Amino acid sequence: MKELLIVETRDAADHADPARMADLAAGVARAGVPATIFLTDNGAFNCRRDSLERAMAAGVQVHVDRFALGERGIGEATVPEAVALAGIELVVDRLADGACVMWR
Amino acid sequence: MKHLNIVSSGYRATIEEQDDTVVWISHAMRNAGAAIDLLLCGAAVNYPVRGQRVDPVTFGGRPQKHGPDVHAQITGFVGSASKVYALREDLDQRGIDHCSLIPEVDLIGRDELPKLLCAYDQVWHW
Amino acid sequence: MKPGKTLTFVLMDAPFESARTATALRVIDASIRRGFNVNVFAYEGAVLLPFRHQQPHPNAVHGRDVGEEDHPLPREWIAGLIAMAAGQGVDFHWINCGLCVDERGASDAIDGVERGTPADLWKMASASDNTLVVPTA
Repeated sequence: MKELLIVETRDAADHADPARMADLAAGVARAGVPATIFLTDNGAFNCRRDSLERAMAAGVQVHVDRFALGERGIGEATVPEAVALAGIELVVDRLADGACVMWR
Repeated sequence: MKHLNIVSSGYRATIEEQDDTVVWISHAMRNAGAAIDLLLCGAAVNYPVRGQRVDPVTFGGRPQKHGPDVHAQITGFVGSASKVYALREDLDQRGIDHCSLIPEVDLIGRDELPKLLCAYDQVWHW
Repeated sequence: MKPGKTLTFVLMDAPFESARTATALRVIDASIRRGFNVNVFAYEGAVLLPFRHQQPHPNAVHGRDVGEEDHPLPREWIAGLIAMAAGQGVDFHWINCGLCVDERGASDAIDGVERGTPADLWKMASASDNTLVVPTA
């Protein structure tokens, strides 16, 4: 695997699996493979949660979809500094680069 | 190309479809030449459990002749050509006795997943 | 396939059911804009996305007639993607799983939609630079 991208669409307040996927991303990053989580749809709410801190500490990059933020009235200024803002093109570019992309 | 299909939506529409559609499409793709293994997680870890029985459903006067048999789908898939893995923690969370599974299924822990995933050219998480 | 990279997508959700559909179509739209060839394999409920008989409706709650409401239809979005791909000079194939179509009576799709099998998905994926499954929620 060249790179892992997890597209997280689920709200971690409703589902247990986003935390598990974040742990998976952390494990992949620790194994030396670049790993990224892209938060979109209701997954955008997760950008404010502590649950991603462990993954980020392991080297996982976290991006949040600007479109999903706007749709939910989440101000970009309220997004933690460690979370990058991105467009949907991030998914396309990672796919084109050969990343393993998992949509959850 | 070595390919892993991750099945996480167990028992989704299985009565209507008369099978699990992700296991089904994996089987069909293998028949077309794909080298596919399966990783069962979530409720799908129950698929290899022996003793599952679907009572025939009848709606009005319309009975179902062929109920789903997800266990048979797994026993028909696993073998020399394909591996089937089940996530150990998801079994334990559901109180599923490991001895109730067919022995051909390999159990794998969450901490082993990064290594497993890295061994495949394509990973499709359904 | 035309020169350049090719991406394959598997969609599963039926129209008007999940946020994933619009988000996945945004990814597909962006892929075409990037100049990539795109294949879509519609599995299960997603075969209804290009269903020809989808119709817009007025919305009394919004106080708008059918024209003012301009309700979006997935079939029109897909037609838009097909037209954009042609304009961009990239290949775009939308293949509906045939068995899923039969189960749902969804055979009357918009022009440009093909019928296929899991073997076609495997062939497309094998010939693509990458494949993304967008599973049902």
